[in-house]
Amino acid sequence: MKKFISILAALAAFGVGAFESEKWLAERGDDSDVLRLRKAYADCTKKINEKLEAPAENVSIPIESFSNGTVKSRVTAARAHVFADSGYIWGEEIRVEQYREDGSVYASLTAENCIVDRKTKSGWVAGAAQMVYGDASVKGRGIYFSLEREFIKIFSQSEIRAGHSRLDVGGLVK
Amino acid sequence: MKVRLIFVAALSAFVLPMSLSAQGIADLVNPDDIMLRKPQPDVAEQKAREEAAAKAAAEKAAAEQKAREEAAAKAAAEKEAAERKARDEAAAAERKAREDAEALARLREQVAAARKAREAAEAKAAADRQAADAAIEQAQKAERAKVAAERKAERLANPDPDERPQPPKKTKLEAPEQGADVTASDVKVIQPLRKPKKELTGRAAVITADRTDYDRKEGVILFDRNVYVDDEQYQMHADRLFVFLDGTNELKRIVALGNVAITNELKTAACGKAVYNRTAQRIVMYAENDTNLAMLCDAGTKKGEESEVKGKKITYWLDSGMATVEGVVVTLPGMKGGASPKDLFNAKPHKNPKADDGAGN
Repeated sequence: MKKFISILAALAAFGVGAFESEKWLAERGDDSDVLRLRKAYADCTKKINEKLEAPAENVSIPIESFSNGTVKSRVTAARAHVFADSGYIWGEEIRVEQYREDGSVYASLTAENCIVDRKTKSGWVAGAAQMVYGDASVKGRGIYFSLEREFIKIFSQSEIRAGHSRLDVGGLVK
Repeated sequence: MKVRLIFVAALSAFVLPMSLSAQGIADLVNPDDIMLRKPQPDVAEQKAREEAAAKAAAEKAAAEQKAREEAAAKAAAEKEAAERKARDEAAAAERKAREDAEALARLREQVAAARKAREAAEAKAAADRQAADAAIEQAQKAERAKVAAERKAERLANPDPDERPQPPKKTKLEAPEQGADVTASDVKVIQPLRKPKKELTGRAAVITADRTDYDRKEGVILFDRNVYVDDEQYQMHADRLFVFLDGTNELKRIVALGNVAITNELKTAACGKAVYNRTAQRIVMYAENDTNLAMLCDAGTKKGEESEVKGKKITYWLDSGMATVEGVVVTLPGMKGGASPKDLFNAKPHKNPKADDGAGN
């Protein structure tokens, strides 16, 4: 009996650390936040076109911070409309940067236009965007990102250039 | 009129006696004159009427003016709204046209770049192939010349033909019967340790797919639909590709699913599922089903040297080049289509003696 319990405990411990593909795929399939941001993007675009207000220029807005107060992620835009009521930032020539605790950049996203939700720390790029992460670069169109969940979804024309951590299965066909 | 006359008469009778004498009245007032005098208009009433008329006219004019102004303002507002709408529509159309043009330009650039890259890769591959063929031919020529020189030296040293050392006899493989594929389980096959001749430039691998999901917390990247990996050393197609990274974002494991095909100039592999483990330096390929087996094919260095291994599960060790095949169908070099199990061990398809030693083990 004791042995049986120890086996169960070991299995449970293994299960906690192991990657659960089914669960992961199910979570990945949930695009409700993507749809919410896509709608927000369309609504904001419509509002901006109706009001014909001049955008704020050279905007820089911190999104989240480390516990020591240094900025963890920041949005900068050449032109931006900030919707104070909903927390959305609609920007053109936008750049979203993520920093390490020492202040150095470790990932960045640049796009022609983008909407960022400050409340959920997530965003949607309707057009083309480019990301740089270490020595890898990512391109695509229709990109959803969540800074909090550290998740990126590329919905079209995704292209990744791997750096030194290349997919070295080439040994099979050497 | 009658009333007026009475009124005038009464007034005369009341007022005039107070100021005038009777004679004076007789002189001044003639009843006939009174009767004939025209009635005097009421000035106050007339004035009031005129004022009312003037007021009405002014009010009417003001109302008309106001109506005109309101109509003009409304028309101006409508015109402005129409102009604004037209401006907005024109701006939207212009923006859309610009976006379409930019998208088209980008697409053209991508197509042109892809075409250029493919052409360059093809040209380079052709040049590499030619260089490799030339090098092999030159080596073979040198080998033949060396053997001929050795034989000549032997002949000169030992003129008696019976005492000369004989060259090893070549093993002749007989063609199997049509459709007689050989199957076995857990058969070890040594793949030739052949390396590509071309020098690597170290360019980055490019992975394209319809959709990509990257979960940094879990260290998982999923490439979904029409996955294509273009590496300097190989190209890979798959329906779906999972890449698992460790805590430091280093590659740990790759799982390719559905219509997996990996190829380069020398080898081709195809299977239903392939799992690459970086730590173990091992790729395990699984059959799609009982009919579509996993396949590993060696193109050989020249025509007629093709070999092919098929099985339900092929495990390939990248460092040693050794493969284990389960539920196997093997075709030896130059014998594409099948051979007898005995031929697996009798045949010496490669000159590398190390490879033969490995087969024995």
